[in-house]
Amino acid sequence: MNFDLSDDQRMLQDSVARYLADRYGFEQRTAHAGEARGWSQQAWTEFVELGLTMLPFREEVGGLGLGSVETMLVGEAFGRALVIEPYLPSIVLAGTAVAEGAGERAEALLAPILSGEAIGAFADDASVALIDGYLVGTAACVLAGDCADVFVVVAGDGAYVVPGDAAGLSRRGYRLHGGGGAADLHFDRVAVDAASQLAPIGVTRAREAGIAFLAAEAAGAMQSALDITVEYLKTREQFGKPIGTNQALQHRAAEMLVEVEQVKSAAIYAATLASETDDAERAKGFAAIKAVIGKSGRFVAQSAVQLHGGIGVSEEHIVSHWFRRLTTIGMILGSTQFHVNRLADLGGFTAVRRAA
Amino acid sequence: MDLRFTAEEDAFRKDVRAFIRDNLDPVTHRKMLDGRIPSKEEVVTWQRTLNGRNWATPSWPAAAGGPGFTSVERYIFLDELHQAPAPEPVSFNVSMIGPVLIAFGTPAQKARFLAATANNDIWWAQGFSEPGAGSDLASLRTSARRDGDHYVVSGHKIWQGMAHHADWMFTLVRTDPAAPRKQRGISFLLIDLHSPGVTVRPIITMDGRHEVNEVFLDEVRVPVDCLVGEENKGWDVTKFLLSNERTGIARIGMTKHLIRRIKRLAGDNAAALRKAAAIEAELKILEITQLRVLDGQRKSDGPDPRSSVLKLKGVELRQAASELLLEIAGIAALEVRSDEDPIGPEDEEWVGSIMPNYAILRAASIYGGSSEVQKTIVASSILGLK
Repeated sequence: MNFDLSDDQRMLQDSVARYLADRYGFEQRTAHAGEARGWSQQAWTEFVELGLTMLPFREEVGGLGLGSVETMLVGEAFGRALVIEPYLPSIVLAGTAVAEGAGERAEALLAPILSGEAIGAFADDASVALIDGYLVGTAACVLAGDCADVFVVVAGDGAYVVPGDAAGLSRRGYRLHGGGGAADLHFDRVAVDAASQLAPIGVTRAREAGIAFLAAEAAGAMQSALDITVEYLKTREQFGKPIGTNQALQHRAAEMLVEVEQVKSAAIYAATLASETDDAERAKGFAAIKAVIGKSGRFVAQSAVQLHGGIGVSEEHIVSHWFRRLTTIGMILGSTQFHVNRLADLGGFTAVRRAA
Repeated sequence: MDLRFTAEEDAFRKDVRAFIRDNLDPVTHRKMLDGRIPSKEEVVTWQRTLNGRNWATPSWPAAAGGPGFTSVERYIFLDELHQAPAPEPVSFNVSMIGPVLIAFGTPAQKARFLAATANNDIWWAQGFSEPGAGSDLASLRTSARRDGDHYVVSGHKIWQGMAHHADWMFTLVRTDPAAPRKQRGISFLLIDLHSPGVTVRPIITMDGRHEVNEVFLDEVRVPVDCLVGEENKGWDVTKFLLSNERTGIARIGMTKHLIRRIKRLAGDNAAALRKAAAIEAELKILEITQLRVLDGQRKSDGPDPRSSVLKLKGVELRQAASELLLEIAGIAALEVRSDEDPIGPEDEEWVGSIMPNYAILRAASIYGGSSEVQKTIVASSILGLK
């Protein structure tokens, strides 16, 4: 057992943090959000230059060959800075589905995504069916679906890579609360073939990687929300003294810390589950992680706003943005209740009777 | 980064599990499975069995006669006891007074008490709280005045767990009522509960059981060689003891035992199983938090403030599990039963303990630093809010 980061991992953590501190302050982020697509092509290009888009993937498919811990560090940093560029949908979700599901075609399919030329999206909605070689149905709230050049569409047990301009595919794009965009997709007999098919393992791994990334993002966002809240409690004065001298507020902050530590643990657990070989353990683990980050994230988001008082609900204060991001994290890739139910369906962790 | 235990640690866990399976008396084990309180004799027998393997004192260093466990081994050992479930060695002996004597005791005190404490030849009680001194322990009023080679002790102690089984009580007394700070005038005394002037009176708790007591001390003569540490420096000893008491074990294994009971009683009740899953999800993550704390302990000696996180979340989940167990058992749990009732056939789930255990588990967020005190500690020592 060892929870230490390696020197290389610490360097990565520092360099991402430094980059975001320099280039991705709250004002820049606000400016990015105001661009046409709701995020910054310039920032995206810089992510590519820093190697962040290639970072999670094996070298054989064109990645940097770094692992889940490194991806976690990126996620934490993105959560703190509230990065709104489509890293989760394009790199983590669509990228992983292709990298793990496309076999020998993976490198070629991934190349435009990792280079930043194309944005990918992951349409994971049970209401798309494969009928006689055509995709039929709809997919709701596909992250980055408003601007995606290529879709990974889950249908049945597998998934299909579908170009954004495929015949029969139409979309209605929109902005999301908390930043970024999405689309509802309509598949009216979109032709797919074996060359575009991904193995089911790609879908599983994409879902897992997505949850792991959200856990890291939540850990970063929650720590930042706690930090700024504690700072506020120490500096905001009412009745002639800092409001943080009030025990009711101190206790709420302490309760926040408990949940922040839990979600940090969840993020670490997610990163280490990537090497778990027991499929059932993986499945249970990711369900538990998603359930916990949803519940704990919601508590910390609500508490951070509450302890800020009126300013906490304003658009101009960053805490309201962490609030929305954490709320969103709890809802996407399966809600908290969905994952609790899933863990129950999988039998939970504790056997009814204990092995001797 | 790696969450796995080493091969040696895995082997140690197997060893502990096999030892419990092969050596724990079946009746004691069944009582634990049922959620009943084992008898004094059963607890003593089990502690002596553990002591035969030198496992009765998991936190004692080898130099003091303990097993010299690493923090990870200690965790594994307790986790196996909790999950079995098997009785823990009496905590007053092995987690409280033992480490105090190792750190502060005179050679004579160590020779007199340590081995007997490990083997439960002496059962200890804790004499800290008083009717007027709970969370504000330093305001205690039990007095000890020096009279030749003795202290003469008078006062009223309360909440002495299992004092009706106990032979001795480690006790905080006020030796200098005029001290400028109330913490300065306190001394740490060992009192033989068989001494004249000692009266132990039961307090029946809301589980209907007799587990705690109050102890009246009326001019009890205590030899001065029963003073631990220096006179008026008992508060330092106490802080040491309390920090040991909070060494950051979330007792996850106990909650797992409750989850097993929930699942057995729930059968295929999907709604109940989902509620159990919600607890299990948080419990699994708490296990990772526990490992993080252990990893930190291995790298630094200082107290880890995240121990408070373990206690807060650990108790929250244990209480939630006991509440769910009660909910699932339903009205069948309302009938008053006794821990002494005959033990049922194998595989029968004993519901007689569920309501009492639910009720008394409320105390888990009160003793050892109430949840509110823990939150104040977290706010001040981690977050800097004062």
